[in-house]
Amino acid sequence: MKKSGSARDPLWYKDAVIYEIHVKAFFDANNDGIGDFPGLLQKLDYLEALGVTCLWLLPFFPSPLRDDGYDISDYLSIHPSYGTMEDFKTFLNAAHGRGMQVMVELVVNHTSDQHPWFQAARTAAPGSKERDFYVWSDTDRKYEGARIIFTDTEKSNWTWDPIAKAYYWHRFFSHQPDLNYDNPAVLEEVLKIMRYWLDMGVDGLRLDAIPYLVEREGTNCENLPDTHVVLKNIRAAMDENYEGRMILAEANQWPSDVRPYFGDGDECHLAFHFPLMPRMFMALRLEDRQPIVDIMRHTPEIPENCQWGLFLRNHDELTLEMVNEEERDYMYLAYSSDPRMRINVGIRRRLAPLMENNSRRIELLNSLLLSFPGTPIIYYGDEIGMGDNIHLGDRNGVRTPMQWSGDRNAGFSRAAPEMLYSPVISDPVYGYGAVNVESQDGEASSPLNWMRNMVALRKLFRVFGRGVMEFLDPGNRKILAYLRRGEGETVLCVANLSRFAQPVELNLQAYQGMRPVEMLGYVEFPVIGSQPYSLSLGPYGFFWFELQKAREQIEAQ
Amino acid sequence: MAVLDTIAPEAKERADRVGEADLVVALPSCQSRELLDSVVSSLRPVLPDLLPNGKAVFLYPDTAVASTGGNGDLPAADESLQLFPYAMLPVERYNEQSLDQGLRSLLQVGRTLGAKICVMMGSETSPDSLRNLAEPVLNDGFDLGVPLYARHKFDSLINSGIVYPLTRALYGARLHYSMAADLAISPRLAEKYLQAPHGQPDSGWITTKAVCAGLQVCQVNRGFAPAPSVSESADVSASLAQVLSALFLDAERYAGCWQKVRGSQALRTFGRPARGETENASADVHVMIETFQRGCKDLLDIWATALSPATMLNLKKLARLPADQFRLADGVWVHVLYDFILAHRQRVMSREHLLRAMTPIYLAWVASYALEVQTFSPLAVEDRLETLCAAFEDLKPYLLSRWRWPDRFNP
Repeated sequence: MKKSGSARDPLWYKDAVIYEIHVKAFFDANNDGIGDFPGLLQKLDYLEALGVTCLWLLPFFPSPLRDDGYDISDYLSIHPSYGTMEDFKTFLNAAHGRGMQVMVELVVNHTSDQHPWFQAARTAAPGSKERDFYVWSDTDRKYEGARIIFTDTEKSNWTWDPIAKAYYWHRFFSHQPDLNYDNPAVLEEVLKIMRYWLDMGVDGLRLDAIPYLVEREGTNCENLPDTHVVLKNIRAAMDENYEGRMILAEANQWPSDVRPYFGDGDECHLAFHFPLMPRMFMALRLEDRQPIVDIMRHTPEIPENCQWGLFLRNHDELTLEMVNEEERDYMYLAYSSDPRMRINVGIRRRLAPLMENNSRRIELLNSLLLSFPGTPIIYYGDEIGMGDNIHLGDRNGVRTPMQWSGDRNAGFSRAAPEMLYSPVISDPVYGYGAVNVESQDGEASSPLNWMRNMVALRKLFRVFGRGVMEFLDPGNRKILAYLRRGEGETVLCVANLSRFAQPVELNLQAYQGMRPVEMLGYVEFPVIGSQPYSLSLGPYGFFWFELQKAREQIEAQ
Repeated sequence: MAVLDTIAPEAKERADRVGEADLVVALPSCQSRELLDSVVSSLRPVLPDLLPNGKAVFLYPDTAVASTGGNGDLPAADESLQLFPYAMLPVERYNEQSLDQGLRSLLQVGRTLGAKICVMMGSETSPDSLRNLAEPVLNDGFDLGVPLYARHKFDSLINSGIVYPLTRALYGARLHYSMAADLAISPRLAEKYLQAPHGQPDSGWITTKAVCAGLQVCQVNRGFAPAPSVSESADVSASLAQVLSALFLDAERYAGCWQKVRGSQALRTFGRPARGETENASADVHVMIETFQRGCKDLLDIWATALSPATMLNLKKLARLPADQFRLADGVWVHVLYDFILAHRQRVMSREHLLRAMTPIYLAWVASYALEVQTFSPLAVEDRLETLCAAFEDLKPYLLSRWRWPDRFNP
């Protein structure tokens, strides 16, 4: 039976606060050392109290797990380690019952090489429908303009298959053959998968690696016009039968190249803003707002029904693909002193260690995340300041078990420690003894409660999700100041990117007579006059002001 | 969005037979045949004035007929009036759940019949009450009509000292009896009330929902408040806990609404206010003061989990005062209420225990108020309560700041 979407407002994703979760990493209910859906269900109270409104689940489908589940061998089932389909449905309904939406992955650029489609393709006759589910070639010299993405592990985008006696195309790992969208049967199957999850009531789909869906000779095989044809078909099929659903595009590209993925509001609803993320880190380290202002000025307008997805950290490395070479060098020097912290074209670290566990820096970056134009995405564990483990392979160091308490296995599982899918973080600074939900829950000033308060405040003012942004241009470049306007609200955000206290004078003449009310403590500041508005900010300090009509103005009315 | 459709199958059948109605009235207090007969007879003549050529349906508790052993001899139904039995309990004063149960029945039937207006007559069943409440909704475009009662100085003190000033400060509407059991409701508000955003009934006072939805709410002067139709518990603690629970849950539910509200606005009020006469009533406050003083000894630890140190200190000072100087300052009383709202939200302890622990402080406020106003004229009493309301509004930033930034490290 087809279930309707859970959201009331078709633009719900604009006001959402998304929380990214590994099912395997969140909570283990059956004590086998691997997190599961019954475990996630038990932690919904926690997520509700945190205030997040949409849960983004990383791949939980059957998979050989050679790329953390992004190598899918069956799109219509649940990986047995994570529970059953019934468990998933129970979780989904419970999340909806709490007013939360659920987003799952639609990884359809490639499959696992263990997927039945690929197994059938390798033995099928060349030119047959089965064979053409993937991209084959007799030579590995086609599409030479396409770059290699996983530079640390892959030497070519082609791999020889001895059974098919041909090369197959893959933009990621060699065990992840790319699907062939020139074969109409592929899109038909993808739409079936999409309908299967939407019928169940899933609210959102994250489309993985979408710039690479289609290949054409003489191009870099990214962002091609035919890729947009595929996306428009997917979106049309969604709109035709489902209300209140959403597609989030993963396109690690420049904003101008991402812009087409919104189409005319008829492709993706949301797209990650990849280039903004490293620039937030860069601006903080440089104590200069310029990288942020610059990338935002180069960010094009998007259709009314679309939105940027913003994040500080996620399950992947802090990607440096969308910075220039000099900036990349700077970022490596600034944030990855140990070469083991680097992977591919990025840095595999969590937020707290990147900030050297400085709470004011963490809070400052989160204040930007929550107040910039877009939908914020919080990576699980970052709300309590979890650390990472650079000694684990690939990006597994940022995918360790959630730290619930100071008990064995961080309260994540009651299994024997050696059974856990990953060791818990146990170092003295970030280890579960020092950093865990239980200890932070009751402490009013903890990172967890700070995040709860900030998320609540963000949700209170719809302007953050829906309003426009306008940068101010104070002389002191260590200060980032911007206005958010819309929905009958005006909010002034001021952030000090420096480790020292800073003065700033803001040109707020357009708001003369208004009173800034500091939003966290509801503190009234002096009314804006004809002179530049002076503020002082402490090290890494930030203000969010609601600009209210002064009492005198209201009384005069 | 989902709208819960829990109308009972037999009621649905009945509604289908009726087809359409312009007005649906719920009479939950008519728990006996005699009462039902008399109320229907008295209300019937109002209908042609209210809705010329209109059709009305009266919902009465199905127990009213069952109690007398059958369906026979119900007041005669005709083209303009149908009678409709429904599972309905009497509305208890301040009891949101009992009102909610009746309201849902009423509004579901109203929606099924396409009614232009639904009227809940939870306490008053007079023809004037029906006419006065219904007219602003039918004729002036209001979504909710609520009675406004005149008060004797010691009447409805939970309302005067807590409900009215608190809801006014929070939601910005000077709605004096937000927990009234008599209401006239437009289809627009009915639809909102029946919405089930997460597949579950979204409960809460209908008045709060209407105000927060920006709907048009008016008051109707109805003289002095009628005696409650259902005998109320003499247990002040239980009544208080019930009221506070409903208010505090609404504060959580509508946090996004009240945090944006500044000041308060008067509502359009219909009819003439009843005039009170100077009363020389006095109250025996000694038991209340003793209860408060005992609470100061026995409940200090519980209060300390909710109240700020400065408020605790003020209460301790108050407990030491002799009866003739016993005054609980408005600011302290407002801080107490705001701190309890926050403690309730943060679940610092069992909510039931927390709410009941407030009883001695409430009695201290009653004692203080009674001592202060015993010689006041009705006008002076109104002025005094207006001052209290102003204190609630002035101190709202305190609640806002602590709501947004809950931290026990506060004054």
